[in-house]
Amino acid sequence: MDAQEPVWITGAGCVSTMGCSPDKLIDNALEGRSGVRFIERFAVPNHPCQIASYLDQVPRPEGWSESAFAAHQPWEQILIWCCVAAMRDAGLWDDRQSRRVGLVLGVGGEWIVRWTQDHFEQVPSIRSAQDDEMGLARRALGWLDISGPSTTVAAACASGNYSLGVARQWLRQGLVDVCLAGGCEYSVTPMGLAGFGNLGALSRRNDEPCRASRPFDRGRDGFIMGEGGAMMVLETASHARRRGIQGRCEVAGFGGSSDAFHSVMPSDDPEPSARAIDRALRDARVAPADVDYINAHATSTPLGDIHETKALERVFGEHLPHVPLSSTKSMTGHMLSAASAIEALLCLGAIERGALPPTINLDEVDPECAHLDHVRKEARPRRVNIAVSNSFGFGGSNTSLVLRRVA
Amino acid sequence: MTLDLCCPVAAWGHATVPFAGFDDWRKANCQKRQSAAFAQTCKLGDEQTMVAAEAMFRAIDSAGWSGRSFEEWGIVAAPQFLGRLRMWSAIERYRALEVRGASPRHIPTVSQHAVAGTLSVIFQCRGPCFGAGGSQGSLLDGFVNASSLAAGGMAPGFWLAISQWSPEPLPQASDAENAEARCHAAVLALLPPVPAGPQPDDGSRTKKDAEDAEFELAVRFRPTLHRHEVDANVSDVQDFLDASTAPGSVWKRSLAAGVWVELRRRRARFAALPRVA
Repeated sequence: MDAQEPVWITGAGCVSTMGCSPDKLIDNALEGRSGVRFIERFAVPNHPCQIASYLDQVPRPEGWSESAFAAHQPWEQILIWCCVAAMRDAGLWDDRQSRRVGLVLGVGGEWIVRWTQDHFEQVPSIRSAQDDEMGLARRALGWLDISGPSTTVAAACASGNYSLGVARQWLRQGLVDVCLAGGCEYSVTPMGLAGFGNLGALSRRNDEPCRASRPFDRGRDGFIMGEGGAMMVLETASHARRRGIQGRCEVAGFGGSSDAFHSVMPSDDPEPSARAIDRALRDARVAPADVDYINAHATSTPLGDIHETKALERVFGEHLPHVPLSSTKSMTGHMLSAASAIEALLCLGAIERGALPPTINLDEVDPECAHLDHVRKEARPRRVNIAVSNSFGFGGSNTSLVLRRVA
Repeated sequence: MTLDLCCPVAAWGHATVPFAGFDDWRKANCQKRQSAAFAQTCKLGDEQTMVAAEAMFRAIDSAGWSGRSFEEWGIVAAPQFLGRLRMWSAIERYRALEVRGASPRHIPTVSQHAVAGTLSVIFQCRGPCFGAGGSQGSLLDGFVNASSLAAGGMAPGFWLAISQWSPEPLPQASDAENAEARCHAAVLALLPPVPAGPQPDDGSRTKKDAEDAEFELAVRFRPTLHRHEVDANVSDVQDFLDASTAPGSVWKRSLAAGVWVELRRRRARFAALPRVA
C-alpha cells in the first residue's frame, strides 16, 4: 500500500455519438464534428428542446451472442461494451479472472431511468419491491466475470470524475489490483428531456442541432443532452510495469468540493468550484502555470460558463490567458453522469495526439469569458504534459481531475 | 497481502420514522430544528433525506458538537432505492399531463446524490460530496467509499449517511398496507486514522476526537477472488450501535473479493439514543 504511488490509465472504451472507440471519438473531436441531431427516438413536438446527442445502437462486444446482448437494457449494453473494450485495450480481458478487478461506476440516476422505462413498458418494477434487483455495478461483475468489489458513485454531472478519484484511492490502498472506472448515461428519454426542458436548462435552437451547443458563445441558451459512456482501466504504475505495460496517462490529481448552497439553484459564488480545482492541482503537485490544457465543464448555459470562468480566474490568476481551454460538450452534448469520463478520455487524447480539441460554434465569445485562451472551432497542435478536466454537478458537487503524461 | 483501513467513528446518530404519520413528523421536525437551511429542504426533500438529516442532527448533538464548523468535511450518502414513491407520482403525472407534467424538481430530489447534496447544504459541508450505492446492500457501498476516502485523508472528516425503507413502501398502497414500512437512517462521523505525533487543533478534527471515538469503521481485506456478498440492512447497524456494549464487539459484512467491512466498538457504551422519532 503506497499512498503516493502513481496510478495509470492503461485501457479505455467508450460509446458515444461521436464514436464507439477512443480513437474514433478523439478523431471526430479533433475534426470538430458534432454528434447532436433532431430526436426521432420518441415524439418531441411538445418538448421545448427537441434535439440531443443520442445513440441509435450500442455495439456488441466480440464473444457476446446477439440474443444475449439484446436481452440487456441499453444502459447495461453501454457499460458492458465500454468495460470489455477497456479491458481488451489494457490487455487484461483474457487474464481478468486471475486478478482482483474492481468496478467503480459513475451513474447518477440509475433507478430513475430504470423505473421510468419499466413503467412505460408496463413492467411494474417500481411497485414490486420484492423483485428489486441489485444495481448495475453489482450485476456487471457477473456479466463481465470479474471479481469486484464494485460500487456506484453519484454526483450528477461530476459522477465520472468521482469514479476515477475513488478508483485511484482503491488501488493505492490495495483493495483491488486493477479497477474499471468511468461513467454511463442513458437519459434521452421523454421524462428526462421534459424535466431538464422545464427547468429551462436546455437549448431551444431546435432548427440547427449541430450549432446548438455553444459554450462560452454570446448566443448560448442552454445545454444539449447527450448519452453514452466511457470506462477506463486503472492500475498502479508498479502493477502495469510488472505486466510490461506503459500507462496511457497518469491520473495525477483529484479534487472535490460542494457548494453547500441549494439542491436546485446554482450558487453564484465561484469559491467552492475554485476549491475543487485547487485541490486537484495540489493533489497532483502541479502549479497552475504548468497546465497545458483545460477541458472545461462549460455546458453552454448562460450562467454556468461565466461561473466556471470566475472559478478558473481564482485558481490560475495571471496564468489563465496562457492556458488553452475548450469545452468538448459543444460536440458531445452534455452526457451528464458520463460527461466527466468522456472528457477525461478526450484529455487523454490530447496528451497522446499532441492536439487540443476545439470548442465548436464559438462564433462570438461572451465578453465575460473573453480573456480565456479559447481553442476555437479547430483543433490546435500542442504538446500536453498536464491536462485538467473540470466537472461541476447539478446540485453543487464540484470536481476537477488532473491527468499527466507518463514519462 | 492483507489490508486494514481503519477510521475512528467520532460521532454517530440514527433515526427511524414510520410511514404512517411521516408527513406530520416532517412538519414538526422542521419547526423543531429551527434551521433555515433545513427548512429550505423540508418540503421537497425525499423521506430518506429527511431521516438522514435527523440522524445527523442527533450525531452532532450527542457528540456535543453543536456550533462546530464542518466546512472542510466531506459527505458520502448511501440511500437505497431512493425516491420510489416520488418517482411513481412523477411518472403518473407525466402520463397524465405529458411534457407540462414533468417537474424539474424530481431530478435533484431523487437522484442518488440528493441525500449527500442536501446534507451538505443543511450542515454547510464543503468537502467532497457524493452518493454511493443505490440498491440492496447500498450501505456497504457507503462504508467502503467513505472509509477509503477518509483513510486517504481527502478531508479532515467524512460524514457517512446510510438509509433505507424497510420494508419498502409501495406506491398507491393504503396506509394499512404500508403500515410496517419504516424509514431508517444512521450517520457516522469518520476521521482519518490517527497518525503518531501532535495533531493540529483545527476546530473540526482533533486528536482527542479520534482517541475518544466510541466505534471504528474498518475495511479489511484478505486475498481471495471470491465474489461472495452478504446483504445488509441499516436497521442492523442501528441495532449494533444501540445494543453493543463490550469493547471489541463487531458488526461485520462481506463485500466481495475478500473485502469486508467491520464496525467495531472501541470502548464501553456511554449513552443511549431514542430509536423512534
